Amino acid sequence: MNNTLLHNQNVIILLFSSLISTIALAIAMVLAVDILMHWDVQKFDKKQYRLEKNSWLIATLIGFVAALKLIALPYFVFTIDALSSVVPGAMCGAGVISFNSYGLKLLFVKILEVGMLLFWLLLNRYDIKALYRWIKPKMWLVVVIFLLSCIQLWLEFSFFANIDIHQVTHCCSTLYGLLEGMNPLPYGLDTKRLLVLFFLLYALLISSYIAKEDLIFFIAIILFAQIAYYSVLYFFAPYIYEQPNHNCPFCMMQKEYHYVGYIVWGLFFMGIFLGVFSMFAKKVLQIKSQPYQKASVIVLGVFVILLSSYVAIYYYKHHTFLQEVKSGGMMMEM
Amino acid sequence: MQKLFKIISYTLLIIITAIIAYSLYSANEPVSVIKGNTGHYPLNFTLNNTNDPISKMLIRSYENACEAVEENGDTHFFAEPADMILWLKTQPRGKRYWLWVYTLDTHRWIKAQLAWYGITDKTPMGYGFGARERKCKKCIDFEQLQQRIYHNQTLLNPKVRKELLEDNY
Repeated sequence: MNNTLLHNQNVIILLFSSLISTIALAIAMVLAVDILMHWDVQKFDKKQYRLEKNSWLIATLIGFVAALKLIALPYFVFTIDALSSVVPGAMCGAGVISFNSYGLKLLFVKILEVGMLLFWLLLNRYDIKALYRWIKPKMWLVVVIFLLSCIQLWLEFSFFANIDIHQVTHCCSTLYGLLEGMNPLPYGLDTKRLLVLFFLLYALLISSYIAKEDLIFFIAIILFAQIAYYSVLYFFAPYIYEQPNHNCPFCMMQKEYHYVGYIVWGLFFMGIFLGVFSMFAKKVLQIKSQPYQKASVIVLGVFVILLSSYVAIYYYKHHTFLQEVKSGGMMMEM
Repeated sequence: MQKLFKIISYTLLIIITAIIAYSLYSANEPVSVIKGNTGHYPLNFTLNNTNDPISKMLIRSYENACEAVEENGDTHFFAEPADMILWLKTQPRGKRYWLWVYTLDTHRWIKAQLAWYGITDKTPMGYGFGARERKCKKCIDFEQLQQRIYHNQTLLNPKVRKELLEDNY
């Protein structure tokens, strides 16, 4: 174990915020277990009254943790990006996060935790309207979120403690580099077909929303999540960097690219989350899915326009496209 | 209006499914591992369509190419012996491998442990180790080959390169 980075100011702030959230969630978890054991909405005694008050306290705690985590997630990305100047070989956050096996797991758990916290807050909103119909699943979810937070805290500590600043890591071009001739894209797609799918899937999201076809909307949002991720990496990112072979998802969060990565990935995750939640809202909560689908279509619309504008601006400036037909690689078309 | 968009949705869904199905059907990716070689024999792979996992390049010639076959039959391909040695170093200890190399002199697959290796040969990545079936002057055996690669005693090391090539091998 190497604790050099544990003295870094940003790392201390991150670990401290994770510790605070875990403590807040531990309190919420204890109260949630009490509710799970003793909740009876038919009763009108003092205990039930206390439990109802506690459910409000849990909602406040979860709201506080969600706000903290929503700030901590981009701050984490900012921190690993800043650490790339300390870790030899790393050119951006990609090198730092891949330094050890904890990094990518940590990022995944962090995104999952934010998603679950937002989901809990939305569920709570409908639960209060439905007079505590969802109280028990909601409390179980608090327990799950608490466990996830403990895992996240352990992963975060292990990740930073196991970064040896005397050891060389890989830069993003190596990490996202490919075997010669190998196609990085899913379903054997090439870049042209990937791009066609990207826009067709977005069109499908709009049309299925208008047609009120929830199942098609759900299929489209899941496929769009995958295709959009690869489209950003293997088509749009080179336009953001104005470099034909640069396919890193982290570099775009740097100052040189006006921190646009935060907006790109923020819109992406928010749009997908709202889209997936719309299905849950319809099937489980039995409420209208349309408002969430509409919000998802709007957020992803901004995402699509933002990415497309990079291509349009590049074409306007250079009168040519960066992209060429070779899958997985890009060439200047002259 | 809603009906029109319903038709559009289904049409788009069919087009998207068709594109994915066609891409899956027409995909022709280079191979990096062939499974099921439980006889642990050397396999004839397709040139220019097989990847070396260390150099990340396509293998363009059988001469000096290597294969490492795992106990479960997974066969890995390499453009030259040095890549295979470097790859083996990354593998967990205690595993058993069948190692094959295609010789420069007899043009056939032999066991890599039985081959002799020249140290100043032209190889795809420039390490300089060329496999032969017959012993040659200044050739080294498999164990020496491993030691040389582990200690960076290859033609990629400028100091070694100068020493070996000035020696008029």
